[in-house]
Amino acid sequence: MTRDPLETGMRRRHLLQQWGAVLWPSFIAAGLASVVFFAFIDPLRLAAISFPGRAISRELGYTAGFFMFWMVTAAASTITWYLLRPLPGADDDEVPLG
Amino acid sequence: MSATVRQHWLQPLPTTLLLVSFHLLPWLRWDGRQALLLDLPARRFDLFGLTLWPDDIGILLGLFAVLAVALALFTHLCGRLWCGHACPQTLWSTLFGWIERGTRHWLGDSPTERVVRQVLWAAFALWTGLTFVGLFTPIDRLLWRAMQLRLGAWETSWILFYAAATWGNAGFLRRQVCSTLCPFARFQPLLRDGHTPRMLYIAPRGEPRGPRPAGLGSVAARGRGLLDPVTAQDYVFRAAHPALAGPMPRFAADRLGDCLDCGACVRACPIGLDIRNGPDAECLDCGSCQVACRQVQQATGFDTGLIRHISPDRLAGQPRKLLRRRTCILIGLLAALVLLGVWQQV
Repeated sequence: MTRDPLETGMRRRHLLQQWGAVLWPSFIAAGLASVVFFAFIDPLRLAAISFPGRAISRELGYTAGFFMFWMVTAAASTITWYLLRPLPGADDDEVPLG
Repeated sequence: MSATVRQHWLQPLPTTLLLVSFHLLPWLRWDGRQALLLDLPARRFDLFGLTLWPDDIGILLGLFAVLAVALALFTHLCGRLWCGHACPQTLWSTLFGWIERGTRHWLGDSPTERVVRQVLWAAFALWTGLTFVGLFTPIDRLLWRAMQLRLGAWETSWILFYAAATWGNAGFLRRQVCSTLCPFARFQPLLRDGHTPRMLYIAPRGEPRGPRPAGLGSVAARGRGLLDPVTAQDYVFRAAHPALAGPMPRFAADRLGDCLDCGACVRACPIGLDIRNGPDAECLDCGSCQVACRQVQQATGFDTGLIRHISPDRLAGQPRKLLRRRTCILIGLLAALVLLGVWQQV
């Protein structure tokens, strides 16, 4: 069975919008959070407190910190996306008109 | 050199200049150091002679805020010129589009073309990733290590991360980023008002549209003049919604407007909009439709300006108004941020 190209395009756009709405704002928020956090906290000093036995470079600290922030913000965005989904059974089509 | 030929050469110039500027940015020197270097390993930021340490984060965030409000004010006053001409998404999408057009032109629709295009896209994406990482670590040493294949794991992973983002955004998503993902595009209704310029089709001059025999002059030359806006809008609606409005009436050639209905504007639009259907929230003010229409109109011997970057209020004949409510709010915000910065530094 071949799909209607218009429908495929709409589905693709919808999917992109959903992924984008989760990944993109969380990326910006994680970037901003990393800038503010690492302005006050030196990853080397944080590593000395957290993992004193391991040699962790600043680059690793920044990278791990950024991706940790991104995971948290993306999780928040995902939950927002999930909560904004229409409830099953609340479809407008089922409401009698007039 | 004719005006059309000059436009043909001048059109890609701003995009090329901005792309070249970005790639040259990390190579600029200032007092013997890299002019723009956000040196994360050393926790030191160099901005054209100004050195910021981690304690100066307020200045950096303040600079970002000033630039963001300045962009909002510029967009409010001049329309989405940033989106259409200077945003990185637009620049890289245009570059990748040029590459695609070039490979299609030389190699046709073939597997070889696809391979060559992907290789070129990947090469430009990697170079962009390297340049971007070069803003965070001294680029001369970075490039030297890259050429010797001695890059560190973190440099390599960040270069690959930004290269993949460039490749995906500019190669595949392109303007879908602007229409579905970009938060700045969503702010547009907040920023613009009736005096903000946007790309507009001058329907009273262009309608009713249609092909006609060569040699027939423009509406001004043959004295037809402009239609009243309501009639023009009616023709626009009929052309845009044939299923609803029924077939378009047929017009004698001398009653036609200046739009030849050649479709050049729609073909030129990077997101496939038909500017003649009226303002669209997704329009980036890139001016591709304007340039395409101007070329056709010049070739036909008509006056140009059927598609113009103009505010709806000015088009309706209202006088220019500089200080509007949103202008005052944005200028006030900008002034407050600048004053706060000055006060913090004193």
